[in-house]
This record gives sequence, C-alpha cells and structure tokens, in this order.
Amino acid sequence: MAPLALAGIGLKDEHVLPLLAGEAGTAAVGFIEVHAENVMGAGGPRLARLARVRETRPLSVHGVGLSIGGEEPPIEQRLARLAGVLARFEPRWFSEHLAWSSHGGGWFNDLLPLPYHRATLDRVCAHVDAVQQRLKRPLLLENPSTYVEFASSTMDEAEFLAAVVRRTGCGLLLDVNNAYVSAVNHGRDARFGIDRLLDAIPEGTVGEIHLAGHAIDTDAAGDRLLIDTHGAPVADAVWALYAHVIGRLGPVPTLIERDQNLPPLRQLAAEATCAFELMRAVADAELEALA
Amino acid sequence: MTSSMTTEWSAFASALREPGTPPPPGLIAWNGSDVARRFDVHRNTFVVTLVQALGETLPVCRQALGDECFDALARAFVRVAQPGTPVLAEWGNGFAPWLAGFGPAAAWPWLPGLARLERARIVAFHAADAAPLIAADIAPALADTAQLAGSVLVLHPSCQVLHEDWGVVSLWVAHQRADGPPHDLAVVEEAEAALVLRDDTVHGGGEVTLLPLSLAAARCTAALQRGRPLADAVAEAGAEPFDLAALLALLIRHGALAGWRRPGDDR
Repeated sequence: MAPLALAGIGLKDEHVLPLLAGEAGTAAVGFIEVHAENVMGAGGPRLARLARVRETRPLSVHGVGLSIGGEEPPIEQRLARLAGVLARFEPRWFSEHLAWSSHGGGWFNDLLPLPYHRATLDRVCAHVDAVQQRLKRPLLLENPSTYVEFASSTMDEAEFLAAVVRRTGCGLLLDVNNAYVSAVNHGRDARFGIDRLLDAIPEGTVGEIHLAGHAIDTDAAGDRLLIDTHGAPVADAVWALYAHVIGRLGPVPTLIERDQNLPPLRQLAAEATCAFELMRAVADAELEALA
Repeated sequence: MTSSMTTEWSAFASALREPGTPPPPGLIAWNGSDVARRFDVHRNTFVVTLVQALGETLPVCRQALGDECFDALARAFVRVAQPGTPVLAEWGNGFAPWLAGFGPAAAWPWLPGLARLERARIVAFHAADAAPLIAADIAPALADTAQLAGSVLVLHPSCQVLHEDWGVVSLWVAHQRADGPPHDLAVVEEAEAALVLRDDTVHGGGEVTLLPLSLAAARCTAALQRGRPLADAVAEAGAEPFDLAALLALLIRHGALAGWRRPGDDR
C-alpha cells in the first residue's frame, strides 16, 4: 500500500471560517493542527468551530506546555487539561517538544535548549514515559531550533533523539525547518544531520513533519544565525531538505506552520499543496519502482 | 545542596529574567563567537512574545496609549509578572492591579479600568458554554407574578459586570468606530458600568458583546449573578430608579440568561 500523502496547516482563528466554507485552493489541506494550550478554554466559539473542522479533517494536537526538557517533571494539572483536550477532540496525532519552557513556577513562552548528556537523557525519558502513561497514547517528540550549545553535552541531537525513541517508544515529529536552522546555527551540514538521525531510528518513527519559515540574523562573529520565527514562507533550502527527507521516508503527514505575519488562508494552503505534490511525486516514483 | 543540573536550569532561567547580565555559564558556539548575542534570542523571545500576547488581548489599551508606550508598560509588567501557565489566555488579569500601583502609569488613571474591560472580553470568549434561554422559555416565569419576586435568574457563565470610576465604557465604545476614535476624545472621571458577555444567540455563536448599563442596573445584575432572588437584586440596585423590564429584556435579547429557578425549584 502506498503511504498516505497528507498535507496540513496550523489552524488560526482567522482561517477557520474560510476553511469550513471550502475556499478555493484549500482542497489539499488534508489535516489541521492546533496548539493544545490554545484550546484549553472551558467553552466558546473557538472550541465549537474546531469541533466543526474536526468533522471534515483529521486533527493534530501540538503541545507547547509540558516542558519535557525541563528539570522538573511535567505538571499534573497541565497533563490533566491536556488529557481533557485529547478526550474532547480525539486527534490522530499528539506532539510535544524536546525543549523546556517552565522553571520554578515561571513560564518563559519560549522553547529553551537543554544539554545532551546521560543525565538529561534519563530525565527526558522519564518525562516522556510519564506523559505517555498519563495520556495513554504515544507522543511525537519534536526536534528543536537551537541557538546555543552546551559545553556539558556529550552527544549530538541525533544520538539523543534516537536514544529517547529507543527507550520510550515515542515517535518523532521531524521539524525540517528546525533541523535546518539548528544546522546553520551550529555550523553543520543539515542533510548530514538529518541522515544521521534517520539512520539511527526505526522505520515508521517519524509520524509527522513540520515546515515553517525562519528569519536571518547574524551572530557576534558575523556568521548567519537563523531564527525560528514561523513568520515567513518556507525557505527554498528547507523545501530542498524536505524533498530529501521524504525521498528517504516516503510520504509523511506534513504541516505548514505559521504564527507570525499571518497570510491569507490560500497562501498557507498553497504551501500545503506544494508539500502534497512533492509527497505524491515520491509516492508515484515508489509505485513505479515496484512495477 | 543543589546539584549541578539544578544550577544549569536555574542559571539559564535567572539570566533570561535579567536583561543586561551575562549569559549563564556553560554555553558555547561553534565558531567561538560571543554567546551573549545568541542567548539574547531567548531573552528577546521571552519578553517580546509575551508583550505581543498582552497587546493582542488589550487592543484598545494599546491603541489609546500608542504602541510604543503600551509595549514599554507591558515589558515592565512581564518582568514582574511572568506567567505561571502556558495558557496565555488566562494570563494578564494581574495587569490592571499592577498598573494601579505602578508610578509611571499614574498619568492614565483610567487605564486599569480599560484593561479590566478588555480582559473581561477575553474571559467571556473562553467561558463555559450554556444554552441561553429565549423569550419563549421565560414567558411563563414572567407571567407567574406570585413567584417572580423570589425567582433566581441564572446568568450565562460568560457574564461579567464592570463598574468603573472612569468613563472607560464610553472610551472603549468610541474606539470601535470604523474611522477610529475622535481626535478630541477625553476620558471623564465619571462612573460607568457595563455587562460583558458572550452572546451565543447570535447566528454562528460566540460574539463577545459589551452592554452599557446604568449603575443601578449594573448593581442589580451583579446581585443576580451572586444568586440573589429577583426582588432582593432589585433592592440592591439602590434608590436610583431603573427600568427592570428593560434590563430583563436586554439580558434575554443577548442570551445573558441561562436558567430560571422559581422558589422551591431543585437547584
């Protein structure tokens, strides 16, 4: 059976009604994603409209609140609310980040980096285990965009992620933009890094792909420093890396993320269509190779 | 004793909160460049995204002060009132009380009230659902004059009564004009009241609405919200005359009533 070519968009309030109305150009939007923390209200129109969209397309719930890379274990009250969201909307995918955002009761509203060594690996695995047990479902863990590295790290991100997958049985949400941003920011080859990761994980581990735009800045030495803004169209270099990834994996449900400088729905849908066409070309090539 | 890991996370968190201080120890960059510039990406994201989130929930405050001025206030607020939750819709209720005690904000004595009004709109948007009563549901209860005085009207969960010392209801309404507020707009020190709610009777559902009320009508509505029977709520409105029939009609028309219990009804 040919794997599923499915492209989606991160759903914003502004786009719900045109999407429900079937605006021209949105046919390729095969699934949608929401941030879990944006649908944790008690009621209201956002939840009602999401329930309607949910009837037309599968849903991915993307959490930003669990702080899985943090020093402290995921907070039970947040897990309970998340469990409520998952029970209410029954998403096909649930994902979180290899990052931390909370410390000592404060919320930083950013995905912060962690060192990669034995102690953090044990801790992240314990947190992923706790989340998967509490929510009674597997988690897709997303690779982060990072700007600094830690002198204390003893492994690279690919080794770390592969070890978390092996030990917890979680899947991966491969954010191709993040992989590109981090590779550039740390002076490495993005394709080499992704290949190292894909070589180290079992087939079927990558359950979802994210694509997004970034901004270009410079560091103190004048080298490029890419910022994961979700504020621009997907960059050409990221599309090229994505084509490489699905060339290796085959089609994987792929989402266009946009959180800043929100364009009209049809522009996001056009990017989703682009991902869909790339996946279909890969699937066709696979079928031809079989025949 | 603190472990080395504790130090790593705590040092990172402390440095994020303290602009102008060195980045935490132990950070490196591949090209040996100064990591302070890179660490500032996180410092910036922390403050800028929260300032933006606050501004999005308080659009009239931002418009009334000007973007630059509002954002400076919001930055100062973020420093002292970091959210404790990732659910940002639930963060920001502390802004109005913080403003009231923040010296530089004394130039805008009406601002805390305007911030309360706009926060009430966010709270209403996310409040629990409840089927609003329609006129036909209520007509028998209204006709039952013997029971009316002791009846308890249940307000929709989104309802919030505002009672402000400054004319922030008029100010907010003036900012809703398509061509913007008038240039000579002044905020008067005159008490105003309103009911903020989500009107789920509107087709499609979920319009957050602001209903200006007289002060007496607001006191009556607040008493109803506290579960006082109708006659008691009217008494709490005070001596100032107000039109109860008009208030009830307004509440019904905007879906503000979610239940009606006559005396002796099971809760």
